[in-house]
Amino acid sequence: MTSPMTHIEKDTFGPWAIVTGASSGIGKEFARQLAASGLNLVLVARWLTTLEEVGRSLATEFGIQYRAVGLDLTTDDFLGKLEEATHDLDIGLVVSNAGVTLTGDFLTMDHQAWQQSLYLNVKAHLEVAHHFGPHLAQRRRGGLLLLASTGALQGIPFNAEYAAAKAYVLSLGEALHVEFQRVGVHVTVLLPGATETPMLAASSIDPADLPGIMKPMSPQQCVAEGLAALKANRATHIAGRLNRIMAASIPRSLATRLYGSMTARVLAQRSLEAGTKTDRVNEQYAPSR
Amino acid sequence: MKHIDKNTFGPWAVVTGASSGIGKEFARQLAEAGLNLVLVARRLPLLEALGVQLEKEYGIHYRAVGLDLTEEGYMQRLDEATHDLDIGLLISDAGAGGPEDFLSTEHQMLRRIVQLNAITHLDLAHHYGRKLAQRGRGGILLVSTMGARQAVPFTANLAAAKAYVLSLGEALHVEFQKVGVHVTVLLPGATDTQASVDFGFDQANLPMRLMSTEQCVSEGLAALSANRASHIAGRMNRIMAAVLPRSVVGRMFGSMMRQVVEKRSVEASTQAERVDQRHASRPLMNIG
Repeated sequence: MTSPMTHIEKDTFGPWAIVTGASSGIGKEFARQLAASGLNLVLVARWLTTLEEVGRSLATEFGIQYRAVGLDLTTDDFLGKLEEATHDLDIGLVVSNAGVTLTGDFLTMDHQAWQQSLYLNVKAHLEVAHHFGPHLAQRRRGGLLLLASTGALQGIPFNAEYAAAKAYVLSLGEALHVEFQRVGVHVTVLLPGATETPMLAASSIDPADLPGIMKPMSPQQCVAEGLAALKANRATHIAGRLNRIMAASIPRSLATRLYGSMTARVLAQRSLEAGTKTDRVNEQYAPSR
Repeated sequence: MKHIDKNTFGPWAVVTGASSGIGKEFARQLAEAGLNLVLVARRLPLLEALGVQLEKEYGIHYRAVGLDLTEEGYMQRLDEATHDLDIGLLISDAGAGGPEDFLSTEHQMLRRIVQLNAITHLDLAHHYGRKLAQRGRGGILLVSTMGARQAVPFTANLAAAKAYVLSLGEALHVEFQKVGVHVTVLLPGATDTQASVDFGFDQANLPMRLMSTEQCVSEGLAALSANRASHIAGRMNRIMAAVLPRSVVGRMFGSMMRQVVEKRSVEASTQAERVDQRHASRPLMNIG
């Protein structure tokens, strides 16, 4: 059985595409499907060795060129380094995918905890869109694909900062979709639900816990839908029919509560495993003076 | 006008963006309810003047804190100015921005907009949220905007930042229930403030009345009292929000913002032409 895949026009979106977060999960799958369409790839992530492996394997299989760029997108100067690595290339597509998930009780979390999330889930998208946008606009063809999440659609208790960041990306992308129409550049925000990736594994959400209708999707399916939406220049696309139905039929506030309960259970489970209780917020803030 | 219970939300409230507009009106209504005020904004003289006036009129105490919330270390300075106070309420109102073409906007400006309109709300909610949780009572009101509910083309980054705040507030509303702290996100529409003028909302050009800050704030405080997760100020705004699909509202706002952006760039180039003509015989001035 062939896995889902979408072919996109390399004349429109090539010759080169940038994919951030390309070492695993959805990013890696984007790289694969773009390579299958004949696009050359700039692969960006922290783990250079993994990127090199991904690049080599795709070059061998699909005959494309690649550049592996080991970058920490949480550093202030990442954009300068990315520009250096790509300034000689004709970029036609940017897939801004790198992200990190963050679960926890807001009050017990440290400022440091969400620095990474702010950089990856908010600033990196903004900076990448703003930096490469003018080049795409000048070409008058190409695309920008931003990864949000179904978490973008409402606040999520115990995942507060992550969901807020995704709400930012969704809103930004939708607006840029309109602004970039004048210059012929496609902008699409992809909203995956639970997808079978290392990020899902790291989030401690046990797929067995999810209701039947929320079974995690394969990255192949997710990416195929995303590229189809980009091709058609849809402003936003929720991956997965059931996710779309849920998003359309469940009011914001109810969704907040549902997701919140789910995430609270995850947190409680983690604490049990760690041998502590989560209910001690007040004690943690006992005055020190 | 609803009154805030000063035993729940007092004795002290922190109000950011207190020098004008909605923030200033929050200060006034809270003073009227008997709360002491920490007034925060960049323009210290305005804060002092406001503080003195409210002190005289309502007999409350105030502290004026001149701060730029986009500057490094602002949180520490704010904490220094408030750590001895029993804070019961945070009104996180500071924000600024206007319509702009994303690709033409300077990089630094984009970052500042995100910092001021999203990240400071996060930081303040966290810092004061912890103190409020310790007390086991009180509230946080985050000022977002109607435009947060869908994207606004030509105000892309700012609207996205406001969307961040809306989402954050909704989540915190639930999380803070267990510590007895109210969290409400207020979403004003076009309100009679300077900020609205910056957005090109001129009462003369608008088919509907701009909402008064008094009405907006009164509704916000009532919603906070009732611990509503979010509240759109103004019945007409609520009706519009309920009836029109997100995409339509987005397109509407987007068109308005695009017109403002285009009008301003025409004005800027007309201005430049006029200057050129006036100085035709002299070397060209640097307009920038």
